[in-house]
Amino acid sequence: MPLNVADLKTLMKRAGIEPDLVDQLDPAVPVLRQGLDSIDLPLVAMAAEKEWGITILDADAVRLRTLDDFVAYVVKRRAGG
Amino acid sequence: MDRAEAIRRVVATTSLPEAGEEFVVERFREEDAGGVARLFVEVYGDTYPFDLYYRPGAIAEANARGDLSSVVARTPSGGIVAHGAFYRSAAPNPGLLEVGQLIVPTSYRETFAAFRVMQTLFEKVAPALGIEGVFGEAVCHILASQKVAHVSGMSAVGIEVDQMPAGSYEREGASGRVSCLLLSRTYRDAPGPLSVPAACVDETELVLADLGLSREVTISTGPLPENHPSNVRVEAIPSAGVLRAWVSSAGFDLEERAREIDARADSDGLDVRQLYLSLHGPGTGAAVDILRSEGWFFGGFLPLWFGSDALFLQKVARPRFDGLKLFTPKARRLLELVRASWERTQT
Repeated sequence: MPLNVADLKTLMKRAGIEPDLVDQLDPAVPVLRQGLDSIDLPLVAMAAEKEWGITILDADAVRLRTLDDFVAYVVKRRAGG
Repeated sequence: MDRAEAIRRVVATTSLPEAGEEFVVERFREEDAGGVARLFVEVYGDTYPFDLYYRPGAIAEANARGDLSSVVARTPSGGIVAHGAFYRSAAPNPGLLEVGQLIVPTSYRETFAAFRVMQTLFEKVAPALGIEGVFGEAVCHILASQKVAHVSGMSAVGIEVDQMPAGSYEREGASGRVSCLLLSRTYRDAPGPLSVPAACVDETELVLADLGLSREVTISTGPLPENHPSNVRVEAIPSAGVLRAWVSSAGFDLEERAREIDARADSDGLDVRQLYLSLHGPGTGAAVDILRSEGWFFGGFLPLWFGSDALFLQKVARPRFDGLKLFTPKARRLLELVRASWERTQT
């Protein structure tokens, strides 16, 4: 089954992001506008690398603003893109 | 050369890279030393407690000797935008290093720099050094370093109440003194029995729950040994306002030695007292009972601290428990237990 936003939210909670905050995140809206702080993004990215065996490039990471962006990127990287 | 002159030279000879440059994260090279010093000037001004980090030659020498094992994030032009390191500090066990000196300028805090530095330290440097474990202190007036530690596989093991003067952290909004979260990650465990003082069972169980260590926990019920004195080492750290004591074995004279520790701290004007009590050997329960009666309260459980595990106890004149920012539920629960332990010393 392909990765989806629910998987990402589960990972975010495991990475330590406040569960109530994660549950309320709109996947289409930039996370920094929804209560996450700037260091949460690399935190989630590092957790995603461990969980899904991918490498997230710094240059790409700055463009990942929403959960939808993030999921699409991880799917692409897992497919070798 | 005094500190002011050292800083002038660093600023005159190195510059901080502009925001947005690419970087690679690697082990320290001698030519990185100036950039590392520049980073400390950028973030702490002239307030960092240790002179070494303002002196490129000393940074390079410490790395060459192995006293410091640094990792840096280096831009193509050779500028340094992040630094972190392993080093020997308070732990008597030579196989247990502290991780810290993690420093990133504001312009790179939204990048992966800090995380990659820690990742390199934990996944490449630690195995290469063959160490048993790592501990660290994360300040509690902000969450950033706790988040980096969490994703790096470190787990909360204690809270050092009012550990640091705010001086170095005032730029980040700290005031008064700053408490620190104690964190641990073990690479090579030494499984075995663990005799825990009855007064600290709940606290120890909480700490051990997610560490992945193998311990057969029993409650320490015996008396202090009557045939040998305590083995105590004391060190004052006036720049931090802290006095530390290492009790590698508790003996019949522990109460007297504890009072000597307080007398020394009083005479040096040090309000924050910290004590590491080895859990190896008999009578640790009796030792904790004595120390609690002298006002010492639970601070943490430190795996492999002396080679054997240790309890961290503390005594603070007017501890401030409110306003600490703690990232994980475990850390927040630890604070509750630390506070409750202090409250029990007040009745």
